[in-house]
Order: sequence, then C-alpha cells, then structure tokens
Amino acid sequence: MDRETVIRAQAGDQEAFTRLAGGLTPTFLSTAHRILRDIFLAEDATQRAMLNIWRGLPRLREPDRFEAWSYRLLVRACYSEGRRTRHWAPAIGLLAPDQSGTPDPASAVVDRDELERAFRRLSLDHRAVVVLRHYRHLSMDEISNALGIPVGTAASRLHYAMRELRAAVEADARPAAGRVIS
Amino acid sequence: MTRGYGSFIDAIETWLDGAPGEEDAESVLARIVAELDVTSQRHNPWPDWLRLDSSAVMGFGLGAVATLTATLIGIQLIGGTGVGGPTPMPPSPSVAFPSPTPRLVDFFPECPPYSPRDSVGTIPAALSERGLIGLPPVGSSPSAPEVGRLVDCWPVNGGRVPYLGMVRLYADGRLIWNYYFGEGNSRSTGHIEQRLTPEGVELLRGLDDIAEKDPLRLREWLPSTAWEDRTIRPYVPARYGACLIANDGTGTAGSDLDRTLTEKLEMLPPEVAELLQIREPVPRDAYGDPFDCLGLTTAQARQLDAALRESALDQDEWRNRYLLEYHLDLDGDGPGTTTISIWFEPVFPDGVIGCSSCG
Repeated sequence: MDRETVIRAQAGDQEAFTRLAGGLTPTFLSTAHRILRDIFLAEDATQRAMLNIWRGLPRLREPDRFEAWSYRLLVRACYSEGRRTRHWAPAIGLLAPDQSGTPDPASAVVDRDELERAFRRLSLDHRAVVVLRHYRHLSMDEISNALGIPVGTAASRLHYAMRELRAAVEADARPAAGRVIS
Repeated sequence: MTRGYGSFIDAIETWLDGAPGEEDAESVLARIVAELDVTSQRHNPWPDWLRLDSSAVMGFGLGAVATLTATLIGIQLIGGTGVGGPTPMPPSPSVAFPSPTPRLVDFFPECPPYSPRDSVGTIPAALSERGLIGLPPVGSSPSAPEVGRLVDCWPVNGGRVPYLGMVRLYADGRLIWNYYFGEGNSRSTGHIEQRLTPEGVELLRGLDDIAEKDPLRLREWLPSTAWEDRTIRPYVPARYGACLIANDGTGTAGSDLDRTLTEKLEMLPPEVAELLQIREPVPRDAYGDPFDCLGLTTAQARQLDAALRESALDQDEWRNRYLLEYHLDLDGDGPGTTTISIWFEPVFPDGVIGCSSCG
C-alpha cells in the first residue's frame, strides 16, 4: 500500500481514503468470505473493518504498518460477525459447490463439500490463520502482525487448525468406503 | 496408500482460491462510502442550540433553517463571502442543507489535507506546555462565552507526522490551537487560546494557504488591528470529555479493541465507573469515534481525576506530557493483555472535542 496515500488519508484526505478503500475492498471481501463462509457476513465484516480503519487511521502511528494493521481490523471484524451469528450458525446449510459442472483439481483428494464442512468446524481463530496463510500466502511473521499474536502462537494455531481440518476430513471420509486421503 | 501432507495443503489452497466474493466488492465499497457519509452527519460539530434533530423542535427547526438560510444568502449578497467562504456548513441530521457535491467528510469540511514534509517543524521552547494539558489549576476561569460558532479550522502545517495539531477559529474571535512536536509527537504546546478582532477573523477566513495560517506564523504577519489579544494563554474549557478506549496492551498501531461503552465502563474500578454512568456522550470532530467520550463539568472532571488517582491506576510519563491519561491492565501485562485507558479532553466552544491522543 502506498505510504503517501496512507498518510494523506490519515490527515483526512477523503480522496486518498477512497483510493485506499477501493484497493482494499475486493481483497478484504474475498478474505472475509473465506473465513466466514457467508457472503453477507463477509460484506458486513468488510464494511465494519473499513469503517474502523477510517475511524482508527489518526491513531495509526506507523503508516508503514498499515497493511498488517488493516488486516488485523478485518480479522477482528470477522470475529465480531462470526460471534454475532454463532448461536444460529449450526443451522446454516452448506454452501453449494462453486462450479459443479467443471472438473475440480481438488476433488482428487477431497471434495469441496467435505472441505467446506471441515472448515466450518474450525474456530474463527483457526479459520483466520488458515486463510491468511494458504489464501493470502502471508508469512508467519505477517500473520503474527496481522492478528496481533506472537509468531509462536500463530504457528501453533496453524498447526492445530490444519490437524483439525485434516482429522475432520478424514472423519467425514471414513464412512464413505474407498475414499482415502492419508 | 496415503497421500502426502503437501497434497492436502494444495487441496486447501485450491478450495480457498475457488470461493467467490470479489464480484460484490463494488457494492460493498458503495455501502461503505454511504455509511461514512451517515457517520459524518452523526458528528455534526454545531453546538446543541443549533442542532435541529429533535422531533419536538422540528417545526421550529424548519423555520430557523429558513431564516438562517435567508440570512446567509443575504450576507453572501452583501459581503460576497458568507456561504461561499470557508465557513463549515455541515448538514443537520434531520434537515439537509443544500450540498451540490456529496462529501465523505462533512463534519470537518474546511480543513484541507496537508502535505507531509521531510523534517519535523520546530517549536519555540517557550511554547512547550504553555497551553492546557489535562485539567487546569483550581480557580482558573473558563474561556467565555461557553458556546461559540466554529467558522474555520485547519491542521497546523509543519511536519511529516500526520497529526501535528489543529487550529480552530470561532466567530467571536477565539483562536484555539495546539501543536505536537518532538520525537513521536511526544511533546505538546497544550491547547492555547488567542483572540482576534472581527477584522482578524475575516482575514483568516479569506485565506486558503494553511502554511500562512500556521499559528506560529500568525504573529509574524497578522497586523496588530487583527489581534484583540495575542497573548498565549491556556484554553480553559467549561466542560471536559472523559474518553475511554480499550486495547490489547501492545501500545502499537492496531491495538485498539472494538468494545462498547458499557463494556469499557465495566472494565473500570466501580468507584470510577459510577462517576461516568449517567454522563452524556460528547461528539468528536474529524476523527470519527474509535473511542468514546463522556461530558463532564469542571467539578465532575476533578472528582473523576481524584477517583482515578485514588484507584491507583497507572500513568505513563511519556504520554502525560501531552495529555492526562490513566490506564489499567486487566489481566497481567504484556502483549495480549486488555488495557482500559481513560483521559481528559477539553470540550471546544462548538461542543466537540479533538483528539489529544492522536498522532
């Protein structure tokens, strides 16, 4: 993110902020959707994060850390949206496969439904770290900064998240004879 | 046979890559922009007596708006600078003023962004902490009148750190400003008040160059007839804001936590929270509301300050050079700890507070 634009937005330059928001929104929306697995919640989380960025910008003392800081607000917004719906979340139906008619390279290992189901069983903390690592391809240092947790904690969360994901997929796969994933 | 861990990660990444979402980004951005506009109107800087958002005074409000609009049009016709000049004219929450170009930030419409520079500006040593920081000495007389109409405001212009202070100009001639300086903006002049004549007010309102309007430069070029009193005095408000924020204790950017006012009050010692329970929120100026502020009289502010000291909350010497702040670590210390901070802000004559903790 352009440091100059961040500084201008901090000073109240609405054009600079609009430029920042325009650059962040698509990424935020897709990241939030991958964490929350619900496009409406993802939209709300993105909006909440962008508003918090706008409100919090003057307090950001290090413009160079804008990106990590903004991700932190996004993940926090995802947590808030996730918490808001926790009590009825189990009743949500599974998302339909994205492209049921086209060949899916992942289906050789597990199909999308199984991954979807397994991912939904993860806590939001664990989902966030998986998405930041395997979708945004952030380093553990960057994840640590984005989530505001020590690197060791981030690594440990990722480890346990992947283990849970793997175990959940295996458990789902077990009754289906012949499907072996590990 | 078992598949390798790498294949599983590949599958996760492929699955994550396949999720939709980007196509809605435009509509989300539009909603954010719309929400920002609404947010801006919540921070209407007009004093209470000019706010027309109560249904009980709606009829009176409409009449007042019509009268006000006619008056302003008259001023513009006569003087040529009324409505078209730099006077902030934010929309009332319930009665929209005509605005040909919708703006994201209506609550601070006339403060232009300022360009960063390579070096931090210098401040005469004599100005350091000459203004109000925290609460004034007992017996200080508050600035009068208590209410004033803001006619212009602009950021001080002098350094690479974005927020270096703000200048506020009121119709009654009061010029209230503060200036942060030093490493990490760790020093402050405190809030300072000077007084201009009507001529001085018009001179500044007609000037777009904020470098020329820097309070440190005004003494050099403003004619003596523009000054009613150019003595540097602390701005002593009639009211204060007690501001609260919760963060995760790292003290770094992005450490602020999203907590409701009720949650923040519950984090405070009961004897402190009790003093804040029935207080009304105070609106803030350009900086939105990453924290909550509650309005206090001078006596209430002193009572709260005493309660905070008696509750043995911590203070940070570095931060107390530019604001009076207390904080409490709720569950140990170090990163990840939730910290509640409370500090005092002066309420300006237009009924809003600034942000001493910003920058």
